[in-house]
Amino acid sequence: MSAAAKLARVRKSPRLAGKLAGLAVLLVVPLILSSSDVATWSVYLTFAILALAIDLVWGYTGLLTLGHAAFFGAGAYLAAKMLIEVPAVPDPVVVFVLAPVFCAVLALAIGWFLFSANVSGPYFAITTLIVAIVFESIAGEFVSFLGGFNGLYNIPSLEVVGIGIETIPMYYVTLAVLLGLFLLSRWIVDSAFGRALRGIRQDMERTAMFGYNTEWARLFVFTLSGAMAGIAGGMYATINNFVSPPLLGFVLSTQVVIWIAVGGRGTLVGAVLGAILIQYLNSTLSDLFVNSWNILLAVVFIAFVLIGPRGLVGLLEDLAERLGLGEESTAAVAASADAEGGGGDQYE
Amino acid sequence: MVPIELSMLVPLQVGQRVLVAATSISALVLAAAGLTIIFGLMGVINLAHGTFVMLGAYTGFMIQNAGFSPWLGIIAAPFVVGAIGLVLEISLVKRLYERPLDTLLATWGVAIILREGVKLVFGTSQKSVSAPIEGSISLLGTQAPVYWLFIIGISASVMTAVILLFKYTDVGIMALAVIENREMASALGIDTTLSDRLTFAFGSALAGLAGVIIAPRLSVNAEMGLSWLANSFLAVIVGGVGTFVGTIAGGVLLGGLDNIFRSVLPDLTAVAQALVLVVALVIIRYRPNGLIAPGGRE
Amino acid sequence: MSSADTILETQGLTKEFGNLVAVDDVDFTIERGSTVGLIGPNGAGKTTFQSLLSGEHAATEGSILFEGDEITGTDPYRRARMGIIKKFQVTRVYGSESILENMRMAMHGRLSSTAELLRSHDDSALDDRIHELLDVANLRHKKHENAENLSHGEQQWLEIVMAVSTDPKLLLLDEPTSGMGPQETNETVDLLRTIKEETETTMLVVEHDMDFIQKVSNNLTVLHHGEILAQGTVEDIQNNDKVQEVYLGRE
Repeated sequence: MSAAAKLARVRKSPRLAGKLAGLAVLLVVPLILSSSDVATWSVYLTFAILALAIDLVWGYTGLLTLGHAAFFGAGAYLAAKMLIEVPAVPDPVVVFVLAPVFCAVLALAIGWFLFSANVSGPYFAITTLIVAIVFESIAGEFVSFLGGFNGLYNIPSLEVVGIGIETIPMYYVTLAVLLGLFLLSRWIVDSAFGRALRGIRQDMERTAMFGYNTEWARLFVFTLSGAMAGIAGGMYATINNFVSPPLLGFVLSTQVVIWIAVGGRGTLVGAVLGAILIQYLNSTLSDLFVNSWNILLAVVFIAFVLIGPRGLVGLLEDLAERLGLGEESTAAVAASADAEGGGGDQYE
Repeated sequence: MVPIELSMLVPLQVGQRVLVAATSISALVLAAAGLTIIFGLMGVINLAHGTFVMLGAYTGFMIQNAGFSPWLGIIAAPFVVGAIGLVLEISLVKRLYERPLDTLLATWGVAIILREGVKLVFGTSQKSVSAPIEGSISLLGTQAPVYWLFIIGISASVMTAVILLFKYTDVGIMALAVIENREMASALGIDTTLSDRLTFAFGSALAGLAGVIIAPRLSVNAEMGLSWLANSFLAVIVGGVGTFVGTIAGGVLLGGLDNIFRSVLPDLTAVAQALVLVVALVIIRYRPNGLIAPGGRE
Repeated sequence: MSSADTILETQGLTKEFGNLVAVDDVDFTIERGSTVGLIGPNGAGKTTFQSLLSGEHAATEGSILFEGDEITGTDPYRRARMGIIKKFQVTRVYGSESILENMRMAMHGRLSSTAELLRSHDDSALDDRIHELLDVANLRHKKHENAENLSHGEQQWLEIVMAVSTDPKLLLLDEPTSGMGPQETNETVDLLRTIKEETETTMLVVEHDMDFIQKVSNNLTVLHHGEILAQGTVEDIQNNDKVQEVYLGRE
């Protein structure tokens, strides 16, 4: 595509423009902030990956999971233990291979246990909530092995072939991982398999009776999502240098669900936007306002639950349409998609 | 020396344990009964149910703190929490009757608002509530506070009343009719909206009652609701969604297991609690209709 | 009696729900390429019987053979992959998706493995066939509309062509004209006839509407209390005393 054509494409699609703008902001962050703030933003990004993982399972496949932090925390704890006690294993292997594999296995086991009994919908949500409670209390119990309620300290930062990665480069590494996983998720949901996920969300039995193996599809996306959360957790451990039981628990799990709901579920970008924005707002409010802020957030959350799942992303898109930016009517998009014969980039 | 001491201690321990278990089970059964109505019968997944228990406890605290008798607190709490439940039903729940997952989420939001609101008003420190009855009595080889017997007694009588209410009274039967077959009930002239509201409020009131009567035995704080939420749901689901007898069975089973595991693993209380949850999950997985499964439901 | 041309056969098929026997020891065959009408009064067991074939319910007793293979215990999605596709009695389409998307969602199910699905990002290959089918159902001009905005009848036609898009070997239609007026019912007749001409798919149609079913099929089976009461051509059925008593008297 020529530069002019690319520019035209961006102008036609506010969503794409928005994403690029957001990416630009994230790229520039380390240049503006102090070093410790950059580390905080790196943490925001790891939680944004967790939000991405949950959006795949909830926003697209319709499986509300209230315990997904269990995988994030599991990845974090595994990375912590390995980095502290088995330094012989190279750090990147721990964070990018062992953590996701470990969490994938956990997710596979839990997912198989629940899906094979056709536990879904609200029962699934309640069950995952309980799983998170169990994980957190077990981590808090084993003092010598897992550090108990105090957690594990002094986790070394990421080192590649003996060279420690400093705060700012680590931020860009995290951003790159977020971007990579985002594109992977995008690729999946834009494919025909993404249709299967949407079908499962809307009417699983109907979808199965067109021939889709819905049990396997759910298990696949749940396991993948667990692996992604595991990578995020592993990175978190090396950035924060400290892990503790709440990383596994229901508070974090449900918080992320709220971030996604506010950002806009089932859009991928909404999950990332909600996660980063709310974390940022959380930290800029002094402790004095924390209760009121939580209440406000909860009210916004309830509003988005009531009026529709598109969240902030939806509001921004409506705004863009009203301002006349881009030809965003469904017919126009569909018409151009038709003409190009492109895959569905569906607006939920 | 140690064996002799133990042999003297064992009966005391057991007696104590039984009474402790009985009081927590009593309160749990009351709270879970409220959820049986709201979730088991009406199908509303109310994640604010735990905060209702908490609000009942805080009502007791507030009234005592204002200088009134604890008895007033016990009487007022169900009404206060019932009213809050009513407001919740009118404002939110009724819009989401066909959307269970959204109900789950919205009520979770409400739970956050209630928790944070309580923290704003009362702060985050633990509160203590004193029992309305002093004194203890010798029972099962141990000294048991009379109040504990009161808890058990109140719970048993209220549960009996609730079961009888839904089985034999006009009000109860009509409420069930509305739940089972809305169109028919409405055609028979029953005001279904009012029925929904009152039923929901009643379920909430039971949770409030549970909270206020158990308050003297616990430390009251804004976060106490969560374990009540989890345990109530499990008691309802494990026991058999929609039956009071099932919920009682579920509550007894889970409460009993909790106490047994704790006594077996005194140093690992979190693991003991986790074990109970795991047992519950396994039961749900293999018997999704609960232990006391209503017959013939496909 | 099965022949080489039998596509589906049930032997002693029974379904009990507690004490209720919904389907009672039914021996039934469907010949390849035929359109069989399954009729009977409310509660006769027609929908239950069809749901046993699709796999939604598990048989209590008896067996089902599809193209000679035993499928009695097979999962619904596997049966769909084998070519048994159903249109539900209460229409189930993806309401918040466009008609075009609905068609795409239906078409991929049977034809791809997970890996293929993941790799498939270009829908243009399917578009021709989709447009053909939408033309037959007279829905092409609405292809970008959300399915929930269609009329009740249009949704049923959509679900029918969604089923046809998967290239089924056996199409199970559960009351395709329920809730339709006479005009729409006639259009449904045309739709099914066109599909038949084009694809020669075998069909099992559960119906109440005698007028409709006789225009679409001359091979009827009457079910009553879960048992086969009579089988034969439209004329046979209309002249059958037992059927008169039980069913036609109520029409």
